[in-house]
Amino acid sequence: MNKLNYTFFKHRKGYVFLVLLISSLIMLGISSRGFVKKPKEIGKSLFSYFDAGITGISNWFGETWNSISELKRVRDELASVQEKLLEYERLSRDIIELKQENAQLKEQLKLSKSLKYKQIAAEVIGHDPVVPFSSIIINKGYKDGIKREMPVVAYKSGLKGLVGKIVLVNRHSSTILPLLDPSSYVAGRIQHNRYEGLLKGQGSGSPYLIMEYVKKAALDTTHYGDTVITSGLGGVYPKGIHIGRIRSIGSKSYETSMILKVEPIIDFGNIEYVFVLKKEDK
Amino acid sequence: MKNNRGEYPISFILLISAVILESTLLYKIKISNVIPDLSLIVLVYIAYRKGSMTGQVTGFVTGITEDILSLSPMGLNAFIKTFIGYIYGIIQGNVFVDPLLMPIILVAVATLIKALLLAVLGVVFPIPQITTHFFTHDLWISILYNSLLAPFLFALLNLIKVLKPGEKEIR
Repeated sequence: MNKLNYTFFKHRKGYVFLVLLISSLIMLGISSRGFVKKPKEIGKSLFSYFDAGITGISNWFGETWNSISELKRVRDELASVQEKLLEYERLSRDIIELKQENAQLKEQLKLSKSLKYKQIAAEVIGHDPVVPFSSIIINKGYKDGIKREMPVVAYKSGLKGLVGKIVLVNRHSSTILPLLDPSSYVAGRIQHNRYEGLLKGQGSGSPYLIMEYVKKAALDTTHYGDTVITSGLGGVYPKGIHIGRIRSIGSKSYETSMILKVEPIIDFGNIEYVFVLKKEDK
Repeated sequence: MKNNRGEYPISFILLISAVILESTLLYKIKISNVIPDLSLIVLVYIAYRKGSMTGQVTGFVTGITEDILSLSPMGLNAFIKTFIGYIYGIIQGNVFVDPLLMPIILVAVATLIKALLLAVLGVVFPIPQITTHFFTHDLWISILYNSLLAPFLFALLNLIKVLKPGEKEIR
């Protein structure tokens, strides 16, 4: 018995090493099949408080530092914004009139009403700490009405661009699977010629998305810089949201479809705020 | 008698703080999508200072923390960090670590081991994010970034008394 104890004590580092490695592999095996969501969600909930705290402190220092110069700039901007406001008020009146007219025409044509979405604003509080993975953590969770599979957008240069979808929801935080992730697929459409395809991420190492299964018939009417939007197929993403712009067109003679390289509208490295789209209850 | 008091709590606090920093502040200083792997550098330091038992246990806890915060499957980073913690613990007392060159070499090799293990695990388990990412230019940037940070972090960590090797370990 003593000899057994002595042998164990002598080789305890090796035994612990094996136990830890085997535990990791078992977790990895189970996790690959998606069974360990719950512990992950509990852990993420806990760490979201630290993420939010550190992001908040860093933002506070940054904002305080910038606020002095910002004040001067804001004063200058105020004058020009007031002028623009008057212009927008006039435009707004026109839009209301157009909306009413559009609704009347739709009613006359018996077209089904398009789904309306409520936007839940959220702040980015963290990113994936492991390099090949590219998730984004936001400060809103199921307490704020967020659920899995909800689409997420952000605004850049006045355009609403697709960011990704919610994959993990905790009490006060959620995790977004961005478009760039290799496990992300989005049904897209080239805006001006209406040809459809499937967009796939290539990982955080590549800033481009790949759009596959676009019919070759679209070759003559597809150009560099064309906008790609969501097609609405699949049901996760609403149609008409900007995804990106075409940066290269690949077509092989023996293939029936072409492959496009698409640069996302959103700069995933600098997202600070996003909007989670929630279908409005009827 | 080995003086262990406080080495585990301090190591856990340091490593988990490093992971949280990677997920928040360090993202702002990323180079070409690469953030410095602070937790790896700290783990290498702790393992080589305190031996393979401390290295593997703290490595496992760090890996699990990363797995929770990341979209990576549970166990992936735990495996990698446990392995690196154990291997670097073995060299405790066998390699003289100068303030500049050895930290760079140790961390560069650790980053490479991490990438190799990721690639192997990415083949064994179906993880789409990994297969598309082996030996890209990001890996070389990561090696460079981590190794350049290593001497500074090692110098900072040298100030923590509890992480210095005990009398028996120096001999």
